[in-house]
Amino acid sequence: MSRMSHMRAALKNLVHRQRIEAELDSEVRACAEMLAAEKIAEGMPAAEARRRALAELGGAEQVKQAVRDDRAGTRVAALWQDVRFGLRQLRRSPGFAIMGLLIIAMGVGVTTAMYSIVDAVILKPLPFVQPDRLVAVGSIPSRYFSFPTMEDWRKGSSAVESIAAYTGWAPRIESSAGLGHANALLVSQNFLGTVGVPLRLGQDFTQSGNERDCFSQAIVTNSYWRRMGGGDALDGRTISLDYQTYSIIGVLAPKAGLEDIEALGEPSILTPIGCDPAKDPESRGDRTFQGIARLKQGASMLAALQDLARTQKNLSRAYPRYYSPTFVPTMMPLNDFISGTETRSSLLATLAACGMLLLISCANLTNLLLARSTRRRSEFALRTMLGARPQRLFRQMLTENATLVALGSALGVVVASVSVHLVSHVSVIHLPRLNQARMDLPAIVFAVSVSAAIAILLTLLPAARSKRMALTEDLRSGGSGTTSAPQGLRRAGRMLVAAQIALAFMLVAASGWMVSSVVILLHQPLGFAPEHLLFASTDLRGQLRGATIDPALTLEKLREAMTALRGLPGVEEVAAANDKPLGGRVNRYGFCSDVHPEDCQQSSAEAPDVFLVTPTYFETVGQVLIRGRVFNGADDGRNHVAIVNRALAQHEWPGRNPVGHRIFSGDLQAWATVVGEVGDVHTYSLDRAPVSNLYLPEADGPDTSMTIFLRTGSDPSELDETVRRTLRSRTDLTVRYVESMPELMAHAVALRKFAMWIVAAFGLVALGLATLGTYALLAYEVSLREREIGIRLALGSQRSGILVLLVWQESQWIAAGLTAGLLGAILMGYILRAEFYHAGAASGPVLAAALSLLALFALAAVAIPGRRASLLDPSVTLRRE
Amino acid sequence: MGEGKTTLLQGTLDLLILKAIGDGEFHGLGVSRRIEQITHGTFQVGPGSLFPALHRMEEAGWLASFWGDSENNRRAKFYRRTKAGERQLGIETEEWATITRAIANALKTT
Repeated sequence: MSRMSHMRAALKNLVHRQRIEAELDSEVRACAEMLAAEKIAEGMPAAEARRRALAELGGAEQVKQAVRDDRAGTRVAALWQDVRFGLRQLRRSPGFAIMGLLIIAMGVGVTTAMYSIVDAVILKPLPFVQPDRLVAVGSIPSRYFSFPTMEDWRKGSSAVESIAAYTGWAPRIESSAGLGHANALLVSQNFLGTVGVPLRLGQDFTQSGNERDCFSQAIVTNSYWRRMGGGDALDGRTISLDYQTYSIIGVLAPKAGLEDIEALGEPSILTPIGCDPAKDPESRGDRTFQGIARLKQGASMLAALQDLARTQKNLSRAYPRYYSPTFVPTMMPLNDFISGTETRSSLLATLAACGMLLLISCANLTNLLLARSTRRRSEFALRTMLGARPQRLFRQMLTENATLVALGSALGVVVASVSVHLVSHVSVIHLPRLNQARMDLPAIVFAVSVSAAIAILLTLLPAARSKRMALTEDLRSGGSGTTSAPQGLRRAGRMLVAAQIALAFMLVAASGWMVSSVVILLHQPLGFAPEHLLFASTDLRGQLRGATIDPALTLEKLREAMTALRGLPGVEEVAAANDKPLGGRVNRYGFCSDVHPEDCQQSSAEAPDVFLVTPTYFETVGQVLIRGRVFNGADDGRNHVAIVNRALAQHEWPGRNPVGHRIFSGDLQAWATVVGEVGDVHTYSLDRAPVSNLYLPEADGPDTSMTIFLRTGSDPSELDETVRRTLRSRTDLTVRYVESMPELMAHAVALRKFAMWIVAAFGLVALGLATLGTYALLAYEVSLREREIGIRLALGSQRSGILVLLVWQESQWIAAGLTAGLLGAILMGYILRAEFYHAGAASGPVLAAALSLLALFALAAVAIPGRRASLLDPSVTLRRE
Repeated sequence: MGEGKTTLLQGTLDLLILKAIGDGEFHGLGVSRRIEQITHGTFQVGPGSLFPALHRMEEAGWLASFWGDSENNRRAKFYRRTKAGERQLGIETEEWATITRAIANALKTT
């Protein structure tokens, strides 16, 4: 039969069911009458003829059923019948139905929500042309490289089609959107073409081939364009960057989403590299660029990277002055670069936790179903007696479960879309492309496949049991549910409870680790006092932006600004440095000390990070002075003094007093005397250990980009606005941002905290579910064993003996679950050790706490029904039968 | 399947029905009687097999049905063969011939 005619027939059968049934009935009846008529014609009495005709027919109903069974679309009709039956079954036991629906809704909802976040942040292809061919190009050790280096790399590789360079820029911006600091991106002329960023309006930059050209052109993102007033015409619209007028020649497409990409500095404006006079695209020494390369069709990243490494080897040989021996190019897929490895692992770990929670919910639900299938044993036995094949029963159970799961999943999708909306619109955490997370087709497909898997999983175990069903025994037991459940079922139920305990153990341990790692991160000794610290990032160049900078003027401006701030009420101390703790700092110029003067000849990756600080810096940020002295007003640059931190001192003069030793700094291009040793500080981030630092007086070669620190008497964020206003009132400098140190730290751990809250919530829910599962199983078993317990009591068993018996029987399984959980947790801790910062230290206590917590809850869950069983009155339970 | 004196081979019922109906019009009982007749009483197809087969073949488009009056003026559902049914008869006859030839050959080998 062709598929088309089959489907047509099936549809007709479904739509015209009543008419077809009526026709079938008259057809079969006509046949019976004709058979009878034949027999009457042969001379048989009418009554006898009719009886014989029906016998020959083999029963009118049976014939009709045979036709129905062969009819097209029978399966669909049967499916519909099963669905309705399943719904009736659910209505009959509302407690079970609500419990099951909630468990599924939560499991599916949470997992789907997490999936759609992971999908938006990690899995979805970037909104650029052929994004799988894009790779981020960087370098070790500092990520950055110079423009000529990049050009040489491109020429030396046959796998790379083109490389675009970019670097961040924070100019003062003035436009119809207002005045402020812009996150701009300086890009090479081929940037848009290479990356394949779609434009909504206008055109690409002028391709002059000379990267020094600026042409005063700017391309803005769609959201900045909207802030400027929007519209569909570019005609003559301009913005001012650092007091220079730029014409807007293009607007990026809304989906390009560059302003969400933290790795690119969340830019809202793109300009050619030549527009920032501080950048030199022709100097091999201006190592301030990063790159995005487009690989040739079919070329592998590995091949490209090998080409680059080979080229770099030749370059290092040709220009040893410009490259340190450890300098090598790096590549990673642009998608990974943008989402960030830490984000990736956090999100995937959270998704795994979701999956684990889902498994626990499934185990819990299977337990409920097992208990229910015991209660329905006689129903299934009766069906089997009436000729239902095992396959048919399996199909019915699958349909029933699928109905339950489908309803629960529909609820779960609602839960998911609400939570995705909340997460992506409330800015608790900052993830690239998070605001694009929504319940779209992939998420729905994910939810549907998860629920299909659940439905099958839920059916398999009870079905496997019903296959071994002893028919007669089940029938004999009739409707009374007081016989004990079969051994196999009890074992299955206990195994499920053990599995739940094991999984819950892992989740509880994971949340313990997450919590302890956040606590350790936030409360570790940082080397400075963050609590009352406010800082303002400023640019001292102000309006006068030439190629040359007057050091005396810069210093004067900084002093004036600091004096103005010192006068504010609530400010206790003010200092400045060219970078902040937890802010990162890489400027590895040549360095050597008097004990290894030969090191001065080569650049080294181990050279310390150099900070330029004002005299009161160490007191202001609360960095400890170990020995010697701090800088003072007399260190004006003529005497060349330096302060080292403990790490640098240990490295250069192990076990000795560094004060009085001499060091050479490429920053000064001179030798300086060490006058003090200070404690180590986390300069990069909370989770990166302190490195060697060298401190020089700001007066000894001032930097124009300075961060001003304020130690305040009370909550530093209260002064935020005042400081901003005070600094903005000065026209000779620009303020990038003002933030308090506690805010910065909160921001730094926001993602970890988010993951921590989620996993902790999961751990709690898992603990609850496992406890509930343990309780439900024993409570159910006790209800089945009432008679047995009654007999034991009647025969003189002690009540405490009953309790001990029940608890002992269950605790073997609980112990098995706990052991499996312990092993799983240890394994998980090993796999995710990068995720749990310094959690190795807390490993033992966390495992012990998780173990005792779960053991306590599980035993409580067992003891309550156990005690109830021991209080049974044998005279009542035995007579009930 | 078959409940006559000889068990019907799987799949031969359709062939027999298509052949029995020929270019005529028969109601269910008529088809049954016609098969008995053309096989000289070797096969008797009971209603329990016949009606499902007739309905299935109608759904496949090999038979068409209409309501008419029987020889003794009773309303009955009549079946006749369609173009597709005729083609199907050709296909099934071919298949049957192949099978019988093959079986005959197999039995002949010593």
